[in-house]
Amino acid sequence: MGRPPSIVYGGKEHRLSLPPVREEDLQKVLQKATGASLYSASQAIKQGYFCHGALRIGVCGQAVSDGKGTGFTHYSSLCVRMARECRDICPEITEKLKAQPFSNTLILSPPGGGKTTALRDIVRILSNSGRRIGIIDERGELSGHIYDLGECSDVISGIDKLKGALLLLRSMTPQIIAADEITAPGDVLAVEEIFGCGTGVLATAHAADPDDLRKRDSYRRLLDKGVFQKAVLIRMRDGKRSYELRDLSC
Amino acid sequence: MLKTTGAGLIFLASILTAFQMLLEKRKKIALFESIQSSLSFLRREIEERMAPLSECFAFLAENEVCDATRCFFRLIIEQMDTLGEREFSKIWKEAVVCKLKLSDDRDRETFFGVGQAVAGSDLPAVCGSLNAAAQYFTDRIRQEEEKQRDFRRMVFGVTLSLGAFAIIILI
Repeated sequence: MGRPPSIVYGGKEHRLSLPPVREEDLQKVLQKATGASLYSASQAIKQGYFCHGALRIGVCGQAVSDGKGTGFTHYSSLCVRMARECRDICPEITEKLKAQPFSNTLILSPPGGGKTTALRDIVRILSNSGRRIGIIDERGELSGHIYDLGECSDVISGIDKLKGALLLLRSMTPQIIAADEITAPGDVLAVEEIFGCGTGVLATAHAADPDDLRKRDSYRRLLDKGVFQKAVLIRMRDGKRSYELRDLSC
Repeated sequence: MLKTTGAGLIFLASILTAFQMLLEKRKKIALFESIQSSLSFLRREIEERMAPLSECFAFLAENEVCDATRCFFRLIIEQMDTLGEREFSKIWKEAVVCKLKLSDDRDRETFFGVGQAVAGSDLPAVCGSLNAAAQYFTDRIRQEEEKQRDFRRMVFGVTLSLGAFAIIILI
């Protein structure tokens, strides 16, 4: 609010030549995204973001004064992330991941690095190669209700990762379970539940590399247990992404 | 003969005028009842299911008893495409002015306020506002019904008096 809007493209922020954003502009965006039914997104907004189809809208502002994160009284900024489908972004890596047996893989990058896009593409390719993939799409962002996730994929959305994992394991006989952004303690529990069930795990996490990941207790536990055998590192340089497959078991 | 006819015509005209005024009052009550039931419906759907407004409006546009209210919600649905260019409260306000002939300033302002309130993010506040507005129109229905009863008595008396006057003067 109070500054012109900007877009992030090619890894750089570009300020647009438009008038400064006012709070009513933010209200209009939120109303457009929710069909004027902001209350219906209130549970999600408490988390600081909500999804509208393939868009993820991050919300910032004056939180309700109870300090419990129950919502916002005023909005000061929005971050609209537009997901897009990119196909065959790392074909050599995906070929290696197709190998039997599947090696549990973590896709790593800092926020906004393209983890979800990469996960979507890898899931699609693995699924089309005949692997049954169970996808826990907690925020509806992976499928966006429009993306092709492959012929052998089952998507469960709007549910937390732990419940989603248990449901998928019980009812859909997945060979691989895919989930985006393992962040909360519940997400780590979900991964531990899947591990050892004979089902592969393909997930994403915020981290520049495995050393970065080790700085967090919950991830150190997963790495020490040997839950993940491989990591796909996504790096951005001069507006271009590069992908590296790293072995975590050594 | 002419005098009798004249007296009869005056009597008939006064009855028809009174009937027309009573009908207008009845329409006003029917409109308030429809607004009140729409608000109660919205409150229930939002509180129990967090149903999106578009879904609630679609139901009301098809099922509300009063024609004016159905047209009101249909107009809102049509204008929802302009969300993003305009705030929802403006869309609501224009639809109130266009489709619901609320002559009383307080009635209009109360219903304008509903448009502001339902677009909020705080569920208890949204439901509270809808509840308060529904209660307001419940009270207005009661007031109008009392007025209508008084008016009916007055009209009956005036019509009879006028008719008697016409008969005395003309016949």
